[in-house]
Amino acid sequence: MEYKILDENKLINVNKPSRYMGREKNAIVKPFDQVEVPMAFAFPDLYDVGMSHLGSKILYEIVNNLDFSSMERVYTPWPDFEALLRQEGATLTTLETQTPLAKFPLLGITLQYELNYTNILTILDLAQIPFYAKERTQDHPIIIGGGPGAFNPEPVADFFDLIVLGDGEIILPKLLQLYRDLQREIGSRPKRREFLLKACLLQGVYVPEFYQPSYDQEGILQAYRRTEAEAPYPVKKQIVADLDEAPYPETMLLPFGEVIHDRAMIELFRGCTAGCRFCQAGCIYRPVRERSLELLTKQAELLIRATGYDEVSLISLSSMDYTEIESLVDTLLNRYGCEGVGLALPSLRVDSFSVDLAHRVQEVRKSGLTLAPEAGSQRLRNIINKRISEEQIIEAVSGAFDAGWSSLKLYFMIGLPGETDEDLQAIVDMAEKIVSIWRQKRRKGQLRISISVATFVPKPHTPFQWFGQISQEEVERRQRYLRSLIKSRQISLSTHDAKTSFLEAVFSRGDRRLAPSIISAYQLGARFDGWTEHFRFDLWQQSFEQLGIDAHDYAHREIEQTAVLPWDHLDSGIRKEWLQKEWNLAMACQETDDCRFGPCSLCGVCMDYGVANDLKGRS
Amino acid sequence: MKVRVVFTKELQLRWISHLDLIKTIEKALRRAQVPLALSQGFNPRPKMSIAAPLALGLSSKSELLDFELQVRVDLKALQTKINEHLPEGLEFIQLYEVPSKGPSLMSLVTVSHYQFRFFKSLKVLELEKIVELINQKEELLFEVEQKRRTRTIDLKPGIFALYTTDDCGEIFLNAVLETSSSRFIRPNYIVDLINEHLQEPLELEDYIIQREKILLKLK
Ligand code: SF4
Ligand code: SF4
Repeated sequence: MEYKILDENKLINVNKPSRYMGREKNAIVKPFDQVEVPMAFAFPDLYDVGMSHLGSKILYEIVNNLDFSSMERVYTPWPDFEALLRQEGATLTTLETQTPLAKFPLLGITLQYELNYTNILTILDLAQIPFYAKERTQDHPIIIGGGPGAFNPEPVADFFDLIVLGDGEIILPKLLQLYRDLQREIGSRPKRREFLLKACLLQGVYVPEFYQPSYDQEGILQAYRRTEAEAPYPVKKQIVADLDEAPYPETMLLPFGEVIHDRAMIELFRGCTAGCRFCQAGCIYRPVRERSLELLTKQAELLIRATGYDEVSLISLSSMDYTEIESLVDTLLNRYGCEGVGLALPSLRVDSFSVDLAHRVQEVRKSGLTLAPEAGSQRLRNIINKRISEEQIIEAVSGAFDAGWSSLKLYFMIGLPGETDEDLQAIVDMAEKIVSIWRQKRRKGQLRISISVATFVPKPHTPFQWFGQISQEEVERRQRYLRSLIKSRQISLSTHDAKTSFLEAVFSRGDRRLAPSIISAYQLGARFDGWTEHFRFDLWQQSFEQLGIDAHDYAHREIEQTAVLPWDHLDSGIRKEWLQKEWNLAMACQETDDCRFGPCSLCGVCMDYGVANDLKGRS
Repeated sequence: MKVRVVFTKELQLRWISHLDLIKTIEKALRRAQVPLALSQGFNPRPKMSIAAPLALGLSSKSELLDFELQVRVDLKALQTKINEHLPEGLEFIQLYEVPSKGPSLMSLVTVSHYQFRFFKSLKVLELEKIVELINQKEELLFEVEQKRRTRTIDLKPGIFALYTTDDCGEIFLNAVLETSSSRFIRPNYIVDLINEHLQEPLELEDYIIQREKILLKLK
């Protein structure tokens, strides 16, 4: 097939052409025709978001370091660029070599967020690749999914040939090798079925077409039936046991323009065992695996020199829990502070230790302070297992005021299991209490407390997976109620759009029967659903209605603990009994310790996968 | 030590905005470990300024940049080192020291010479005739948008020269325009002037403008 490539001069008609231009510093360009197994990698969101994502940058360098393979990038075109491609009849190409996506033998697409699903279709559509795997031919790429969304990919599973579960830096090179070996054997592109049959034997590989769901007359999921005897059940994830042994980036792709997170990033550890019961990342990435202080300082040096960034972000799910966080911060500040290089701590814990450390870091930079108590009352914090006390919160805030902060951002969630209006009142009470602390301290300046309230979305593989989201009307009522309680003018409230959270819940707990609704919403014009300025809920409603899909059922239903779930065949390492136990503890308002610092609570991953929490600072 | 640089912004670099250009240069200077002098305050920034910003889409053979260093360095060696770290399309072609307390770069810029290259075939005769017509006018009233208000200005005193050149049969339009802070004639105004005479106006994608030279006031 012939594909038309866009004439570069036409880029003058779009906003920020550098998004589609490639050739950034540290981009790796290997001639497409000279690579045995070239792979395209799509990030289904705007360039500015994709270029801020650490995981993709890691994979980019790892795959490009393989001598037989390459990785070329593509992002979802913003609507102006999409319109230009359509108007010109041009196909979507990669940034590195301007090769049409459809020509690649393999195309990876990362699943980061449920509301990116239509963006996946935009990419396939503009690349002239059929949506459904079963409609694609031998000449089309094999499409590989991955990322956190891989743990419930069912709404989009039919679009993928295979999906990888767990740490991509191990499984992806293995897959590429397998493809290369088969290709060498037969001297041409392997047959897709042959490749899939071999691939599904690798730990961490899920081939959706080998697992077919069945439903009873009422539409209740009964089971997943394997169509191939070799296909494993359940599909296990892939884990890097020792992060020091895993490859890490030594340079970093550098966008020309300013993107969302425009700074060097080092990953302190993977996984989090704090055990917040709503949190999917805290479940699917277990156990905790730290990088050593030595390796991290080396990595920071390499990255600063390779990029010229003036800020290094210390990335992980809860950076403050890194066992050697203080030494790391001190070392980096001593070494680079005088060059004007600052540090960013993206996830503060709510305690005075964290605030002190943030203060030390801010000696180079100054910005607002963000804390996430998640729930206002102690009872509700026990339910969600956010193990912080009111005392700790007060201490942290006082410390922040003493250190000179006058602007605070507080994150909360509403719609949590067991939540009552009293718990909402407790959110506002906490904020008012903070205002009174400020008054007592008689500090100069203007206090600003911004309360940001998200709506709970039930996530697969968490103790709260069975609990339904509250209805949109109820979300809006609780938001209004919260707003009515606020008395001080120093406190401002921002809430999440209820419709957006609803759609997140639908797809978070969705199954394969949702795929047609994504296609029809896309065809009706849904794009960039995660962006307020583009989100069109009416298109989704129309799409669900046309297809007779009861979206509310997916989002709001309280699922029986005995029910078969659309992600039961995908093993995150966490045992279902543990999730049930955690649910029961939540209902009894009881906490569970962080197994890094307390006893093992037997979630299962360490026993079943032969791994353990790896705290480098303890050994 | 204050250093003035003449640099190019060509090839794909024409697709980056002025702001992104500054960021790109800043990062390259850091990679080259240039001892930049930083501003004071919570958000220390390198002391850097670029003259007469180029709009996105234009390329240039001669842009000007000033930056300050904490220490004195050998400029030849500095140039080689920085060029190793600049992305393709960006090159520092000349560096020289200027007095630290001298006038700001922007206040020194007077005129720029632009060259227009066309992708759509224009008849040589036609373009020459239009240029002649424009040159003969005593006054060139032109509507520009400034601060959300349209204002009519006379372009004539800001156009120092407008002529065509021919290179192996390909026709180029040349314009020498005032680009000082008191009068800044954007090169796309010239395209608009030409379009008034064309049956089929030039679209944005039909031409590319390159800044050939930027001239400074001699004190
Ligand atoms: S601290 Fe809690 S919310 Fe944060 S990553 Fe860990 S488990 Fe999730
Ligand atoms: S098995 Fe035990 S130690 Fe391992 S992550 Fe689970 S709770 Fe923690």
